[in-house]
Amino acid sequence: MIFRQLFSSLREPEFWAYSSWLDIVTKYRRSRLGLLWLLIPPIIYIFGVGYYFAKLQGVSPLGFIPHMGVGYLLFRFLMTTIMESASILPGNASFILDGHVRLTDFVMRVLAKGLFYLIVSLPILVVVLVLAPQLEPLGLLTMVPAMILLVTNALWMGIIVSLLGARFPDINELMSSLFIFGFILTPILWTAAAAPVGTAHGMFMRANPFFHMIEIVRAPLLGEPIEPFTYAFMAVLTVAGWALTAFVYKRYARFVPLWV
Amino acid sequence: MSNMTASLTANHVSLKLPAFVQRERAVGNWWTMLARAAFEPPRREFRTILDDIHFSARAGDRIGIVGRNGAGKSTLLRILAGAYQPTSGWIDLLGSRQALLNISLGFNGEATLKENIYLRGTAMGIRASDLYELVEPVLEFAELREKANDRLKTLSAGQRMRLGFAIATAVQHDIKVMDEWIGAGDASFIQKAKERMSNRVDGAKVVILASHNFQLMKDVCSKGILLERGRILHMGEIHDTLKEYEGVLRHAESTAP
Repeated sequence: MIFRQLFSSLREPEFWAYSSWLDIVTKYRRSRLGLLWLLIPPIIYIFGVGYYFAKLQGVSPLGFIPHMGVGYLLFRFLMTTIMESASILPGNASFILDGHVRLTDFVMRVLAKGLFYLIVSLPILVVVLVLAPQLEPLGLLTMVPAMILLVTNALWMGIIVSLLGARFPDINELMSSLFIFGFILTPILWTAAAAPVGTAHGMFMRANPFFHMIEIVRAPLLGEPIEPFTYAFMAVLTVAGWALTAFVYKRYARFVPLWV
Repeated sequence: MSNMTASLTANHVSLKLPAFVQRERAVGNWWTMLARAAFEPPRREFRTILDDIHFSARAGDRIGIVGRNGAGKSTLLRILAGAYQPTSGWIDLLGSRQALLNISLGFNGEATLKENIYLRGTAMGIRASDLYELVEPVLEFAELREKANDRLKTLSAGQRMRLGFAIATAVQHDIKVMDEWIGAGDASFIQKAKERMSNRVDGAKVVILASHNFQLMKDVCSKGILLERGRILHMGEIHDTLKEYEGVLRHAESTAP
């Protein structure tokens, strides 16, 4: 059921594509800088915070900023997609109650918005990567399948969270605490080498799906060592995640109109 | 517009919903009352909202649903619209269906009228190629052409209703399910809306409309269903149903304290 609905969402993208585009353009329409606002926060984070933390840890900013920049952009994508999913179904209650019950459309709306933000910040990423001394050109190739894997996983997480958010209004608050913790637990401002296997904090880091989702894209790109465990984790996460989503969606999607 | 015949049938539809209620207790003082409201979890009870609703609408039927507040009209419409799934029983549907339950909701306030027409159009499943042809007739009917590029936020409640009605009725469907859409329009628009409804009867083969407006019901509907506490109390010609409904209202008035 979930896959059937998902495919028809992809075949008829008009509603979610147009509504996420409207969300973006209307947000910045009345501001003087307009869509430039899409670029300003990532520039500040990546170059400002990146430089500051590189100095703080006594490492070269040119090496650290790419690590932090890629990590930050991917984490932001995951965070906005999953967090906004928590409130997307109640937010679209009027459509749902009029009988628009293909719920995947609404999650696609959130995902499309997150992807758009990610794509807009690609120029910054290019600058950062060109400056990076440790760039592995081969990593650019593995980045494509790795990104598809990351987005696929973000999608099922969004679907699960959207259902939870429709049923339990407190999910929103849980999500924001979870992501603050998740940001600290993910090697964005620090590197995975600081949490080796066998330590307590290393175990914490490896139990964190965001670590693996980001690492599988970033590590080959920046020539950082990637553990075989990450590949295994991602395979299990993808399969088990979608199986869980299929089950939960089939069982609970019909109750969503009652909850919102 | 399809030439296939349309029909909508509810087969012994019942709906039970959980309701969350706070315990009722004698309140000692202000402090305990406030504390209880904050810390006492609500109790879950199942309530029967609709009970064995069974009827059939064939092509050409325009059914008016009447009943007092809380009788289950809106819930029934949401089941007929395909949003709620019945706890037992099922809906048989032949033809394309469009619900107009919340015609002034689901807009993006910061976007222009034109953009909102596209938005609602896509939500109704209209493909991109047909969207452009939708804009002019909708603006024309809603009498909002000169505001096409204004932000939707700047519209009054009545104008918003007009726009919503114009969008929702711009495309012809076999089955229309509608709730109290006539709330905020001015007299001349209501007249226009009624005309559109009546003119489109040939196109929309089945119309289900819930309203408290007797005149509208008489003008638009041919049959009527009277709901009371989630059950069908009467079903028949619209004039008979309205008479029954008047009886229910009089009875409620006479028993009220």
